[in-house]
Amino acid sequence: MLKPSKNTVAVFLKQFRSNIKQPVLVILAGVWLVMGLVFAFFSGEHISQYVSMFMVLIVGMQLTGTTTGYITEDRSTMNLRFMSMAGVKPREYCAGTFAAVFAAAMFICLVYAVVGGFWGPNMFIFLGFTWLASAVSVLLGITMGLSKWPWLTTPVGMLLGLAPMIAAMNENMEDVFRFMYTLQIRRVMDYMAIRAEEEIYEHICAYCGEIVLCIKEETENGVAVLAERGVLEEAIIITLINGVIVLGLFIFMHRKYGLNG
Amino acid sequence: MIRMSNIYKSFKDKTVLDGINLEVNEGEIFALLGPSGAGKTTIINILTKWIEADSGEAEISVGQNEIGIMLDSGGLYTHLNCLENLDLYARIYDLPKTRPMEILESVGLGGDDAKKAASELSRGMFQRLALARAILYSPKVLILDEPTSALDPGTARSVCKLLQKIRENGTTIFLTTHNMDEALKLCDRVALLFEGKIVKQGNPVEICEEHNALRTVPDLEAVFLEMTGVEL
Repeated sequence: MLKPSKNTVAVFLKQFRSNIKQPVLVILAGVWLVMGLVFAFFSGEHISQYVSMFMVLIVGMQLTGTTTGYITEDRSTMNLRFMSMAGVKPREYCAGTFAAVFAAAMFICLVYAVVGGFWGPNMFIFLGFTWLASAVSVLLGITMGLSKWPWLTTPVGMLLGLAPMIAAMNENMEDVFRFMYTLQIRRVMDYMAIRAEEEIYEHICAYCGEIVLCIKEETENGVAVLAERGVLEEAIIITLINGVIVLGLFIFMHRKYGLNG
Repeated sequence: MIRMSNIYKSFKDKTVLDGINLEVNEGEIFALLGPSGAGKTTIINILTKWIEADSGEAEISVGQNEIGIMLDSGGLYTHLNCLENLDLYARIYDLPKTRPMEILESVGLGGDDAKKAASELSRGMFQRLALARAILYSPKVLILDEPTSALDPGTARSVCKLLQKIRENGTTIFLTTHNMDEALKLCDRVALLFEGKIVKQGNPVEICEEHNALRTVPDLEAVFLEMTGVEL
């Protein structure tokens, strides 16, 4: 197993302390969760609907911004340069920063899963997918932070966080933003929210003849299929492709600027 | 230990450094004196390789990780306490766990002050914390940008004493200041910088003698006025 270097541990501890001393990410996640509970109480809808909505905002917008914020702070206080002079390699710095923000993201996702009522296999799917998407967002935040344009994080975060919500209102928009990993979070969350409430049953697909998993809802006209197989697989594939693209950008920024962007 | 030869640097059309030559020997305290905008910080940035000179050579004959730097407000996180601020570099330099507290005590920030967030410190305490960060790993070369600029006279004197002590341990100190008295008392050699040029360089007392500026007390400000026609 890869052992983190002392420099990575030092950076991790500093960023982790910053997470605790300036808990913007955790507080925002808490505030949104409370808002979700209030909305659910007054609307009579299941809390999982709101967990989905706010999860997209946290993963798409807040994680990216928080990560870039740490790097911007390290740069503005000259610490990036001091660390570089002290022999901290860019990859060690990035690994420490990634680990600290990702740890906070894992904790937040876990709390959302519990409050959202995702138990058993649903929790595995929820956590597996949100952690994967969180990793992409944190890596994107680091990439933006290393670049010469960290201020771009705000509009990019807005796009990543809000586009999936706007897209939900219009099919054409949904198609346009379909290849964005944060929209996939919403799709999986919707799928999970339905899964949390409805029965899953097997039926034989009319087209391919295979046995597939469906989620059904009793309606006046019979049984409506709310979500078919493939949502999760497609979401994972799209998120992984997004992840590879972000990784490519990260490698480019890392090589071009290191800690001196 | 530190050498700059024929350094030229311009930003857009403005010449900031115009043929700088200087040399600092091992174990010396060397001060760069000059008013704001004279080019002092640009010299530090070139020495530490944060920016490149347009031409000329600049070098410090130790590794980058053996240089301690104290900038006006750089290197500190205001939301972390004094110990946490130093802990980051103590870990990077693999220092004993007791080292941050030792250094904080040496700059007068021991005890309860060590647990205060940097944002809660007075300007003078903040500057001492920045100095503590710079000397934490006993660097061979210490570069200080206006180390006593915001300090009251008493604290400034204690910082000067601390710098003398650090020098006794063999550290070469390169500092910038516009406090002529401080340079006179503290430094082995000084360079007077004005509009990107070094107008005089040497032992501060000898410079004052040469320009008949000793009078009752040596007066470097008088030398600066004579050399540049400008008051500090």
